[in-house]
Amino acid sequence: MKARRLCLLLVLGSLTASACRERETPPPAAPSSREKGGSVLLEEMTQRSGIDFQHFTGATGEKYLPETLASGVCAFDYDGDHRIDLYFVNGAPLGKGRIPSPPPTDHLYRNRGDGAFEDVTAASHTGDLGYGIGCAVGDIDGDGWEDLYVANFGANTLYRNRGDGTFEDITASSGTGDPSFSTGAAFVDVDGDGDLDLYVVNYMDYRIEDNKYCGELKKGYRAYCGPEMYRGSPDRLYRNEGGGRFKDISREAGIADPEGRGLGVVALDFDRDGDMDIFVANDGMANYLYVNDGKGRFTETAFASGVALGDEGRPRSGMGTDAGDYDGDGWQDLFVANLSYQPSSLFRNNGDGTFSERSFPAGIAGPTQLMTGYGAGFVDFDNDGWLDLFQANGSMLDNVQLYFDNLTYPEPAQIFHNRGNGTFEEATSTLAPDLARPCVGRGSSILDLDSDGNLDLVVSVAGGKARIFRNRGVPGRRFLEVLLEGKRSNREGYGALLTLTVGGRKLTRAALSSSGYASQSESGVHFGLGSDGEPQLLEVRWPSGQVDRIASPGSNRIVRIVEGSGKAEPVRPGR
Amino acid sequence: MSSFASAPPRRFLSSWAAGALVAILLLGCSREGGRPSGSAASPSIRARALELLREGEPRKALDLLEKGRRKGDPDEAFLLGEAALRCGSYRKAASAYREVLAARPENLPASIRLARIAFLEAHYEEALKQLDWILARSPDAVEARSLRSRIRLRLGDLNGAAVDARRWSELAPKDAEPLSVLGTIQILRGDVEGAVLVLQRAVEMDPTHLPSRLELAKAYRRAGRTRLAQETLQEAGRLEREQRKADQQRAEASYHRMRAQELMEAGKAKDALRSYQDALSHDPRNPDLLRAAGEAALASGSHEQALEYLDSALPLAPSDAGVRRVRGEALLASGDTEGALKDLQEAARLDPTDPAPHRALSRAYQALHRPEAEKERALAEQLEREASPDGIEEMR
Repeated sequence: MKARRLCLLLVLGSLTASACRERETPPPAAPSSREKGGSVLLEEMTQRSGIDFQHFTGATGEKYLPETLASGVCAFDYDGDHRIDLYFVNGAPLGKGRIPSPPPTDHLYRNRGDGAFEDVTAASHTGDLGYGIGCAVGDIDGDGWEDLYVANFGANTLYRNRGDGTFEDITASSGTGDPSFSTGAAFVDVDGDGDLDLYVVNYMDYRIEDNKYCGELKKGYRAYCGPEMYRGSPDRLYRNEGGGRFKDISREAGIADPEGRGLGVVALDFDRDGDMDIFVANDGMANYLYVNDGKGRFTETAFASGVALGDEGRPRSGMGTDAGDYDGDGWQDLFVANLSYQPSSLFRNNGDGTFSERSFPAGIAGPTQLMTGYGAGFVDFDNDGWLDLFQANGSMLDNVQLYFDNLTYPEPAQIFHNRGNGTFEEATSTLAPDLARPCVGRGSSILDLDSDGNLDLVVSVAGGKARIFRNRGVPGRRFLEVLLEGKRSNREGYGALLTLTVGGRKLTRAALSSSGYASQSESGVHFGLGSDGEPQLLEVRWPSGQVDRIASPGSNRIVRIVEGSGKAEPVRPGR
Repeated sequence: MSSFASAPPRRFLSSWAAGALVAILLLGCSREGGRPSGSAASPSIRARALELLREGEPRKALDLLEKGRRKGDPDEAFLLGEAALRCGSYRKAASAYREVLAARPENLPASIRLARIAFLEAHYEEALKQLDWILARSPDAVEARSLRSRIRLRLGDLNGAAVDARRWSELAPKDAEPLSVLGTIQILRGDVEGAVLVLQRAVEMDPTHLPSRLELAKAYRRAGRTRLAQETLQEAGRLEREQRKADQQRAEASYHRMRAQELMEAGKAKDALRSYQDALSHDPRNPDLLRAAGEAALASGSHEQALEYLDSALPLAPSDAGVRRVRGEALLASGDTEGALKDLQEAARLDPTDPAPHRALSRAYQALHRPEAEKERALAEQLEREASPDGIEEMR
């Protein structure tokens, strides 16, 4: 952290940015013409997937706020078979709402490995009954089994994975049952002690009994209130004390801002000083960027870093967020999906502690201007080595067309293809026409559900059926999927930075925990390799500071790297 | 009508749309201040629609015009466009403005509105075409200048953006916004010292202008003035928090105002007054609220209380025709007819297209048995008949 501070001071002291910037590669040249030939990549396979998750909003007409914010989805391998399973967060009755029979619960689907999933909610002892918004996954006890946290409107739930296909609810003993209006969470090792701490994003100080009437006083015109109508709510940070117990360290860590209205979170070492920083997308106010001093104490720097507001100098309404190196310069950039009439925000990491908004020149702003974005992700759908962008959309008002005749409640999702020169083109209609079918998109998760090396997509839908999209891939394009196993670092290696040298390029990817909106993608780190050449070198910088360098890690395979081993062992799904 | 074209934009338009969304979430598109409805019925749809727009009831105006307007009447089409625009019905608004242009191809206000809608929807090329056309005819159209400057900046045309921003700054010399845009352009061009100068001017001109402060901090940092950059950022952060708190207070006030207006419409003036008082507890220096509270007090029979509110509103909005009119009516009710005449005449002068002050003046003259009563009554009727969309922009 001292290095980071020095770096910032040097830059502020008018020295050139390059003095601090560990730029690993020169600015990349634009790629050669694409090989996809306009063919469809993602096609919907919801019916065939066996996933029949129907989200329950609990809507009664009273326009309770949680109804329009739910919900997320988490992708993780709960049973250790190297196939990615899915946990869908569900709503519940609110206020005077009637309780359906059977009552709605969250659902866990097990990936059978034959292209289909089976519902294992009951068998796994999951299926939280709270009004769920988001979820997060992390191995809290380092036993090799990923545990699950559910962020609710009301008390949150922590499930410990027993490793036998079942979970136990350890909320009470863990001390993580935050009763606030939580919208998401991220497991992150904030103090560098090798175990995962827990950051919980809270939205507003909202109670059903204080629900206000917003919108016009006409039948059918009642609307969900905006964030200005309620006070904010501080986020929470729980330090992992070991033995399944956590301690609330929000205040001493410096993250308990009572005005926060968080909806998205991504934890990452943005300044590459060896500790984990945290970005929070806030609704209708400045975002937060908490910079870590290396000991788990944070300083909020969003204004100084340039990620607090939009480039017009005004706050936006941030929903989902993700981080990724979209321009290939080795630094992790930020993407934030915002409310309609605000463009989504693409913040380029300048490598000196600051970011610059590039939404307009990158071609993201115009196409997202009328969308309300929730799920958001950097993802290399076509395995060309450049991170594309995905955004799940859906208005926050179920009657928005009464107010804005050019907006609708369901909205098409969007894919932006990375041209490799710092700009994107919207490519939904060519790459994923099924995605253009409007729905009320909320959470989203990226995963390779059939282990074919092409990243697939899951979208949760408010009040609707979850949607599953399979990626057919681009013939001839290669990939490398890396599973991390931390020893001194946390078990999943969250926060590690991986740099792969291939065909004269260096691709940098981060091992992220939560991202997008209220969701988490699979924890494996994916590299699209394009069509030319085999990767020469893979470097893994672990959160502990350990660096593993693996020559010729191979391609078209999934490998596991154990911290400190210097080796990449092939992994075969199903084993 | 040229007043539309040269009227300075009140605020940056993308935030205008986001703000509109927030306002609509709170209140719907009805009632953005203005006086409660219930005035005497107007003789034509146009007059009534205009009155509703003045009263801050664009939804009702929209409903009225959609049901009963004469197709092909460009004035009514323009009013429909205005009502639709304020309700967020951008498609309807665009269609109405196109109708205006079909009848009056040179109509600049309709063209500017179309450009504004295209801008809000991020159809920049379409907006640019419209703006080029407008500025070729009316180079001093401030809103067109500001819009084109912003679009050019977004599209990376720094020279074009600078030309427009400079002219915009000349046309709106008290507005910090064009200076902020000029500062941004200079930063992008690498002229950080020039940016510092222009942004310092912007901040001096409007210390609450957050974008100018942020850009100034950026310019300081690039110029190597670390301490100033940090101080400016701290101030920007403080401003953002302050503005957020103020927004929250305004949101609370709007919530109570909506209740108050509902109660006024139901004829429960005393209850309405209590709700206005709740609203004022969150936003005590809002002249619109003070005027509305005054009107509620007047309707409850308490002209003394009404005058207290209106006397508080007057220094906050000395050029507000509504405040003058209601104060005139309160003075009239209190028996101070001479005082009432002064306020009502001022209200009529401030908004010469509004028939309401003339109706009240007619009553005041009648009370004094003066012959002007008939003239004012006739004038009110004439204004109702000739209801024109002129002056709508000033009501925003």
